[in-house]
Amino acid sequence: MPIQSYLSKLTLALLCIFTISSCRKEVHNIPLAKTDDIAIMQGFLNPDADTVTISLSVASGISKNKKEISIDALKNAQITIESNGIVKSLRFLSETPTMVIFFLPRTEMPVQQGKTYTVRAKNGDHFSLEATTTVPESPADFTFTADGPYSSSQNNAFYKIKTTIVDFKGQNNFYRTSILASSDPNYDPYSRYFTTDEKDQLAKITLTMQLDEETYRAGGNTIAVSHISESYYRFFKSVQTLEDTGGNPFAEPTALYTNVSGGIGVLGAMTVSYKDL
Amino acid sequence: MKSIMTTLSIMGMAALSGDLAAQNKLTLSGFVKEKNSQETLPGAIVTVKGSETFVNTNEYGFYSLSLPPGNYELQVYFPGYINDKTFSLNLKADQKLDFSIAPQNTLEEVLVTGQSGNVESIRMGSHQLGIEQIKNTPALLGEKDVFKVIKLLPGVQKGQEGSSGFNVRGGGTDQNLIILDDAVVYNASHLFGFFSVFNGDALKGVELIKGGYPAKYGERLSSVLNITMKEGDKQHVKGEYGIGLLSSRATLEGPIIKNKASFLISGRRTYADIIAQPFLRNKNQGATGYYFYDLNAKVNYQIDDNNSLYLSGYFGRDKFYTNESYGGSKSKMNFSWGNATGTLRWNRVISPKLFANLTINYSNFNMSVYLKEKYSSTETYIMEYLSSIDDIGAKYDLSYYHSAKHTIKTGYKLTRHVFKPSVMTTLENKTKQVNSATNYISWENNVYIDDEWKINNKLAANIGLRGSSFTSGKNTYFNLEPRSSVRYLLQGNTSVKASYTIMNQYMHLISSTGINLPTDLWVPATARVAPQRAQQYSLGLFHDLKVHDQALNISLEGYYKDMKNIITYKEGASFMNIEDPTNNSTVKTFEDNVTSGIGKSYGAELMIQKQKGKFTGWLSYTLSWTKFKFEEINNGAWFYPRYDRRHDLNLVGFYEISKGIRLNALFTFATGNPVALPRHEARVLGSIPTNGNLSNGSEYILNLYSNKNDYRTEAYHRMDIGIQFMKQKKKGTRTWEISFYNIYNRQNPFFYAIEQADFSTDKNLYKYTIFPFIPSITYSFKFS
Repeated sequence: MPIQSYLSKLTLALLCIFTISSCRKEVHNIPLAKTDDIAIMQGFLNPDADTVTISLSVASGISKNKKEISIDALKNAQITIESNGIVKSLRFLSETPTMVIFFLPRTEMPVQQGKTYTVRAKNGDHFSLEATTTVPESPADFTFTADGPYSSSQNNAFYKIKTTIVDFKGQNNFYRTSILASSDPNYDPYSRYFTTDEKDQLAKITLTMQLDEETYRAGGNTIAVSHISESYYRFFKSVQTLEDTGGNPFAEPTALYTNVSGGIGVLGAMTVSYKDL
Repeated sequence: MKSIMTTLSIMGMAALSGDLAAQNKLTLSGFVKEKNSQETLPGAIVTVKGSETFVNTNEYGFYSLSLPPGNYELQVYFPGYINDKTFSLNLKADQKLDFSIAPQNTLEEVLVTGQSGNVESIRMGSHQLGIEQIKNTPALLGEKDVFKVIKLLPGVQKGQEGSSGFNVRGGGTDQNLIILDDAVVYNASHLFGFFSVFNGDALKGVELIKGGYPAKYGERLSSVLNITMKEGDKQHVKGEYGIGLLSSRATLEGPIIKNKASFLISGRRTYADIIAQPFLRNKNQGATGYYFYDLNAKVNYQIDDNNSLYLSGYFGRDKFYTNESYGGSKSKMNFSWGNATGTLRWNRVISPKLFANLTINYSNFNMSVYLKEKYSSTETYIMEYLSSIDDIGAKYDLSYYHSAKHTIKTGYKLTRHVFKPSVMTTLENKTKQVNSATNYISWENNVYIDDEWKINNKLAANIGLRGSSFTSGKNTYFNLEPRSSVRYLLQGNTSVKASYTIMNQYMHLISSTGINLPTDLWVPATARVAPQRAQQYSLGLFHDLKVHDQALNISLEGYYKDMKNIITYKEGASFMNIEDPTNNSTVKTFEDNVTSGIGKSYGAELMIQKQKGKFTGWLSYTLSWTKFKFEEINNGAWFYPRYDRRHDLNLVGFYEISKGIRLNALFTFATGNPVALPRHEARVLGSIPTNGNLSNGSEYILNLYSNKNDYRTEAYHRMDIGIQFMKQKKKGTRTWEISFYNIYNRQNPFFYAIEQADFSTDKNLYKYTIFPFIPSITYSFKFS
């Protein structure tokens, strides 16, 4: 049962009371420093993936008089990946109205555990971005058990999947757990980012995930535990926090983690261990 | 240690010199009371006409004066009361004398005389408000509110629009010790912070101390708001009721045994939920509602001339509820919070020079959420969440009126606190789970001694020392707090005063919103989170000005305060980062979610007050700066907290147009407050497949901020006007009040947000305003 979602609803209910009883007015001529658009770069290197993919998007400044970065400027960027002095260029893959994806097939530059990679994205005066990451060396060592079905409050039965990861405290490892459903490889009902060096975290970590009965019985599902880089972990923790506090005008502002110089975003890496459920 | 010894030596010498001087003097002692009800009046000033001799009644209305034998004319001053009466006395031996003074009758004109004690008193940085001042100040929806009036005083920052929380000299809302009859009130707000919990009909007086604290007071860094409840009329049964747009209230008081024992009971409830029920209720979908209520009760019994017992209590609660049913499922949610306090007090006049008070008190604040979902006869889910603080304590105070030169006060207080920052229980299909949240049991000891020392006709000082200890688990903190205030009388009704104080606070309030929501958590100092500490220096000039028949009390004070070990949530943390009993990977205590830092505040405060005549009121102006610094916030750089306001101006006026008509008005202006504004709207892939392929990722829109609170909102200002029509009827006094909040409809900002423009894909910055022009009407009737 997602208890925190009830508390979130509670806070939102309070905010709704304020909002309903308030009136809205546009603020003109905001006395703010000029806020130019900033380029965003994201990439997550995985030795098992067929391709390296890098995305470019924009953090749009709120001031009217600003230096803009258009979608065309993103599309026309030169993107390279470098490791051990070898440099390869990425190619355009796809775009949405607000984002562009570039790729490089694994065959042209395989991503390897323990190696360091630098990605650069440039487009003349518009932006010049650079980030570096090292791929975690050892995949996660884990076991799991499945137990169920249990009844849920939504009248959907579910299975409890208990995953136990063996780690050593003090190694500063970061993990992500997921369940990949056979019906939809992108189906990710439960994904958690954590570090084994959080307070009270033991070397042996047991996490319980829930999988609905229908998906469980369909079979062909996979449990994935990713050993992720610190940058990967910190970026998604900050995204989650911004998401949780988004829409709450009274929440303490949170900074988005970045390891990209010249802009914002993240270049992270992972090694993933899979086990059939 | 050296400074302690020095202080004790000074106090010892003071006592000795007083001994010698006191030998030929007699003692005049007693109580100052209201003429009809026989309510004692704390903070009243008894002066000997034609001399510099005066004394303040203590918080129980008792005074004691040392005078040589002779004939005297005495005057008693108390705000809101007729002060022109002179009491003649031929003092031949120690004598007990109770003074009775009458409140200014609103249906009669009042003469202009007397003094305010503004110049003579050693105390600085304090304000005393009469209940009539609070009741006459125009208010939102006619709901008279102590806190809204407090915010019109110098040195008190406004905080968020609409919020009843207040900030004193750069301190957080948790740094105000709010006490009702000696019991601490932890969350003094109704309706999510829009109204305070104090029902003016049950109150006798309000005193705000924001600097130069006597050693008697401590436990918080920034202010003491001392609120006393009425005791109940000892002679006549009387009452008052009022009907407003938001709530109605009723008070009844009277003698149980004439002149010996009396009672008071006062209640208030909102009825918006009752009025709205027919519109909200739907047989299929249930109901949603909100209400608050509060109840004050007090009884007292005067055992004899020297002993009195008082028992008082407060109970108030807010409740927000929803009941829904859809299909075969039912859902019920209650969100409630409130305070309960109780005080048992024994006042004893041990001798004409020695007054003792023993108090046993209880305070509780709790916030709870109850959620029940029933899906079928066998499938239910229940979630209960509780956050609470419980105090039980006792204190013993002695006031020794040693001589005309020395009044020595000493006391000890012991409090047991039980903090439960967040306890969550879930019951799902008969499987119960409780989170492993930490409860904290703490013991707080406070001991103090101070001497009000009239060194000569010009110079007087209040020198004291307070010691405190706080034990939470295996960890104990000890602290000493020296206190000193000095006053020097200059020529022409002018005095200069200075003070230095150190304060410690062993509890923190962690707030995720800054607007005093009940979800804010009280937590104790622990081994990992140190107690807050502040030191404050202040200097002031006080002057009573008489122009023709008009008297003005003027004060100008400057202060500097530094604070350390103040805490706040780490970036992104909130009260929702609690222990989820179903998830063993998120076990955390509040200490994991907070970070500590330092703060400083400095400024100047001007107050010009006209307390008598047909036209009364005050002007207050504050120029101040407040800054905070936390290593883990804002990259460790200094920033302004949300309640920092550079300029704060208030004008409050009450004008008696005729015997039954009074016009009340206020104008308030303040520099905008600093807030964090999103500077960028970012498109990021917030969810990506496990294999890292971004072409299958999900786009999120995030608002990104730059430095903390680096945008100052537009200035806040508004004007409120109220007019009261009073008429003496057969059975009492009837009052109609029409008030207009924000009369020129100023759109003051409540918060800002970046949102999509209407009929466009552009994003703009929008300001939300919550209180436009709001007229209201209230009816009240006082019977006796």
